[in-house]
Amino acid sequence: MTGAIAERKEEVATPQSGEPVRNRRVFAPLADIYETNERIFVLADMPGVDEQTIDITLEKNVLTIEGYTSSQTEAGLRLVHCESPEGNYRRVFLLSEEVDREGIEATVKDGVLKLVLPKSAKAMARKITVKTE
Amino acid sequence: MFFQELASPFDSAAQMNILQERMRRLADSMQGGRKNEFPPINVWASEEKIVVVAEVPGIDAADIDLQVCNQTVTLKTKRDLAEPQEGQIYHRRERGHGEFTRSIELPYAIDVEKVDASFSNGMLRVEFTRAASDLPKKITVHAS
Repeated sequence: MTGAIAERKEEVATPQSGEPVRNRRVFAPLADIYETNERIFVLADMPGVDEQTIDITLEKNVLTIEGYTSSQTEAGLRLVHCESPEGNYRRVFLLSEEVDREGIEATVKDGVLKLVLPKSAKAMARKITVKTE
Repeated sequence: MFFQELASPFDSAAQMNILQERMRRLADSMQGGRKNEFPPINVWASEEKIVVVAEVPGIDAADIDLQVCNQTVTLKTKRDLAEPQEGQIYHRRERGHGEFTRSIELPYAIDVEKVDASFSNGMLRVEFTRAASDLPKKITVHAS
């Protein structure tokens, strides 16, 4: 078990633009971001979200991930212990490299969002081979 | 007796230690003692039914091991890390991985035959029904 799991999704302040009508909490999902030579991968834990309740937008270099969960209620039962209060997800990342917008792939499986952002050919690191004389 | 009360409680090293211990415990409780627990769970209950909802994103249904022993439910899961690719650089690593175990003690005996577990979108929902033998019974009193 790694120490990273000790972190819990944290509540974030709602953005200034556009105030939500329904007063729900908004959490920042925990994420892994890694890159290879050609692609950037973003993995985010968003339990309770499926492909229809997820919104991803990329405007210039601002990547916004939003997920909407349905409210959890159990008929006739009372919530007696709560460690993960219900709420939506939202997290914004600033991408440092240019991304090929056409090739972005997003999949969601078992509550984990996986984003694959291919780097544009222009931004891809050019490798210079050094030869010995 | 009178002089003892006049003296400051901080004079004694032992009392100072007790105070420090209390402060430490208070600080611990403010941070939320259960923050480290994985997976986070919500428990819904009534007199006849208990529903436990656990957030287990990225875990395969086949990797969930749920056991009930008397009134204790034990949930065992594991989450694997994706295979590292060549030339991979990490920018953020917040999602944990490894094996997790968590036990919950239920407030009453349950019927083991009537446990219903479902899993969707990284949420595990387990429904327990109270054992018929454990339900409170009304006893009528006859006048003699």
